[in-house]
Amino acid sequence: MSEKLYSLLLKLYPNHFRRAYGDEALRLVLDRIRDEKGFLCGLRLWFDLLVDLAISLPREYRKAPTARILVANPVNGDPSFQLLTERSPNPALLFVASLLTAALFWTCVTAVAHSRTFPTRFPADSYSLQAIVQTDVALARSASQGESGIDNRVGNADSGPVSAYSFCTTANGDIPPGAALIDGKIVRTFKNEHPTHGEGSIDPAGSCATIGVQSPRDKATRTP
Amino acid sequence: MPKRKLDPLPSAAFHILLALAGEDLHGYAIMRQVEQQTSGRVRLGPGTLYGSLRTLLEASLIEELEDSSGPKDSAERRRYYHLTSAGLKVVRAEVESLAQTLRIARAKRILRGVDV
Repeated sequence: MSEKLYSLLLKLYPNHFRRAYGDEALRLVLDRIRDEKGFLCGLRLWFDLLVDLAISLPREYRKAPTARILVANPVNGDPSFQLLTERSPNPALLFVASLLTAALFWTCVTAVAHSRTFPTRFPADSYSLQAIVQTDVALARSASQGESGIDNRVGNADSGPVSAYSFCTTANGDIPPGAALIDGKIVRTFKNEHPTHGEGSIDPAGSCATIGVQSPRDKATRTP
Repeated sequence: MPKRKLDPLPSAAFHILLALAGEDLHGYAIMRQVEQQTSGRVRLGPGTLYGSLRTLLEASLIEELEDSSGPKDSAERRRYYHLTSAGLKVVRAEVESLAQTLRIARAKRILRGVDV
């Protein structure tokens, strides 16, 4: 009876203690039960055991070993590490860690994939590169068809499909000073004090434009 | 001088070292020896005893010996503990410190009428 009861109490101790000294602790109690017979001796035994439990249990949990990471000797010049732990990782924790890792990986991949679409410093308003290009392409086409009187020089644009677009800009989001060219013809002029050169190409159908902006401080690429 | 890991030496650890100063003992024998050398005032429970033994092992003040004369079954085999030279130094220093304290107590007649 006492043996079973103390076996249950032993389960309160941390794993490292039970693995190392569980059998010996139980044997010590059995030895005391064998040697200390009688009601009073039994009472004293259990008083000792309970006091010992109250004192040693918190101490053993405080002394529970934590995983130690040691830097091992470099192998072929590469640093290596050894993880020393007394138990294998919890499967539930491994599962949660795997999910978090997958979510983090997906977030990083998505962020990288979307970061190539457009620089965020260009506001998506009427002064955006996309709006400027679309406006200029429309101007060039209407000029080539002789429909409107825009800048005189635009009227000289070829009647063929637009294949190249370039302009100068400060790339600060404001109206860029400089000149916008379509197929080498000026379609828009700006006051250009601190030029940043941008070049673009437009496919014959006019549905896709690729613009590169380069300045000493800035680089951007846009594919509308 | 670097501070010792077991400084101050816990009471249970001191009594265990003192018990092992005479001979190599297993856990239950250590408990009995401590009980005897303290006139029954200290009875080490299993948690305190084996927790202290592990601390002393980690500090290399004692070492573990396998009971070669016991049963072959490892579960039945008792582990004996042996006082190392470092452990002997520590327990000697502790006893000398207690002796110094005792001399002071005697000089101040705190122990008047007590034969120690």
